[in-house]
Amino acid sequence: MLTELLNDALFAAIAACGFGAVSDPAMRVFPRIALLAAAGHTVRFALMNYCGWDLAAVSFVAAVVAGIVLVARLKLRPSEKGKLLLDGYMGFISLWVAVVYYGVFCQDREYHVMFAIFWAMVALLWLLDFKADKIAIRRVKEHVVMGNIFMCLPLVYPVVSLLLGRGFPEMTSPLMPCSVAVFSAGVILSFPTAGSLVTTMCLCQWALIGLSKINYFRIPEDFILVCAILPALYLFFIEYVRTRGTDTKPSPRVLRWFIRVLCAVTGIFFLAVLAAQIGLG
Amino acid sequence: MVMERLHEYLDFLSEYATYLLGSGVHTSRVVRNVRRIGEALDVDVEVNPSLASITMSVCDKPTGDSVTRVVAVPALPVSFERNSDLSSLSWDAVDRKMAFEDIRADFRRKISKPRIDPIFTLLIVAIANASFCRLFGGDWVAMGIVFTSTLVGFSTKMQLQRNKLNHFLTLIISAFFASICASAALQFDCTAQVAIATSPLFLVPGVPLINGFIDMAEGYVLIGLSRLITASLMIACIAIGLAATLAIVSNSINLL
Repeated sequence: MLTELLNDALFAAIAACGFGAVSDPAMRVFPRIALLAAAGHTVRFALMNYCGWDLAAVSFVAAVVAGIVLVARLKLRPSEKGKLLLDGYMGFISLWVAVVYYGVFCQDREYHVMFAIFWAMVALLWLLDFKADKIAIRRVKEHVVMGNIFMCLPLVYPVVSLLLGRGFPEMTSPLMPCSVAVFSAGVILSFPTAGSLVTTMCLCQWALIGLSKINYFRIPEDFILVCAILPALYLFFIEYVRTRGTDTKPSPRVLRWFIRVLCAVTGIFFLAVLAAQIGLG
Repeated sequence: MVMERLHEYLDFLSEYATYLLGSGVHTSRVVRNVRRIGEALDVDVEVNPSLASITMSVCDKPTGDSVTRVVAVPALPVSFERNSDLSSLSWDAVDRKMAFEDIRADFRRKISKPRIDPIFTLLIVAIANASFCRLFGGDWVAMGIVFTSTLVGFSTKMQLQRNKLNHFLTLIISAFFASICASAALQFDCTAQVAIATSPLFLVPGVPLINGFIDMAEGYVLIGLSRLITASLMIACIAIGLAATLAIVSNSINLL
């Protein structure tokens, strides 16, 4: 077993260095390329051959690990490059939801095209953000605790599925639309320069769509997103008002109350739709 | 000396007039206001307005000396508060016989007042569009979907405008984003057609349409027609965005 793992790691490292050389990287990065490729491919090899996971599941794990690494990197060593990588990653997982989830695996569903387009839009917004580096509204404060909780919530999805008695592949994974939406909310709250106003509004839209899935597709786990998105929106807007100063129209006090009332009404509306969806209405 | 003063007046009056035109005031009101300030300053003012620029002449009454200039109209967001403030400035100039320096200082003070907060606008427009959905016969779920769709569409418009994308492209993209989000209503048991149809209504150019008709009625036919053509093109762009969504979801709508 050890020989097989080492064999896989060695050839993955060589392949990565070879393909990496095509892009003319600095000589000092070759060891890192080799190490990353060896570690990544060995984990994939081990999961597929010794744990019985299929390629899709392993890809999920790889994407989740990549997310954890990128977020940890940006938290520990904030840098412009780290931000670009995280924006690129967010664009990638949104595109994954659009192409792989809705484009391939949800082809039987009636409205898969429009949802694929929606997630392609979200991916585009993340990718444009890293090019233009212009966010629609300015934020300066990180909501560390809330952001961290939201970024961990996608890992709760499979646990809830397991508790509901589902195994792989029926269980919800961290790379499904609602869990990606919760993770996106966490990233936006954790890093003030991440995401844009439009991205945040798209998450609000998806929270409402998530409600329909609770009953229609029997995915009660999606209630996690609905519960998470309102506090996320509230913090997002309140932080925005805080950075605007006092010379606003209407006054910051009125703005704050307006946002509170709106979030409360939206919460009541979400609950009402949810009640209607599960047949309580 | 007279010419120097006339140039100063012309600088100010042309800035005043173009600011009003750019902020969504119909032409006759701009001309009246400018002439009123001219009266306070003891000069005759003539304005030849068009959509993109104005030609203005200021003539000194006692000497008959005049200066003329063509000035571009800036693209400004519509602001009724500023329009009202600047109109009252023209009345103050006459009634209180204000000095030129005071008029100019008051103008600067009035145009530097804060505009309505963009996030407040975003949220209130979303509520307004959801109410529109209700007025057109939408149910509560459709209203909620129109609310969130408008949040997406309007924030897209704000961001694209900030990035200075072409105005017509901005409208097409915003209408498409809003309507594709509203098409999520198809998945709910609700009035989905109403939700999709009302989702891009927040983009309809009401002010250019109204100003265009007023200008035509008051004899400013060229600028009125220009405004109406621009408004029609904007409506066509909204229709293109909506049509793109309908091309994707039309089969689903037929099933309803």
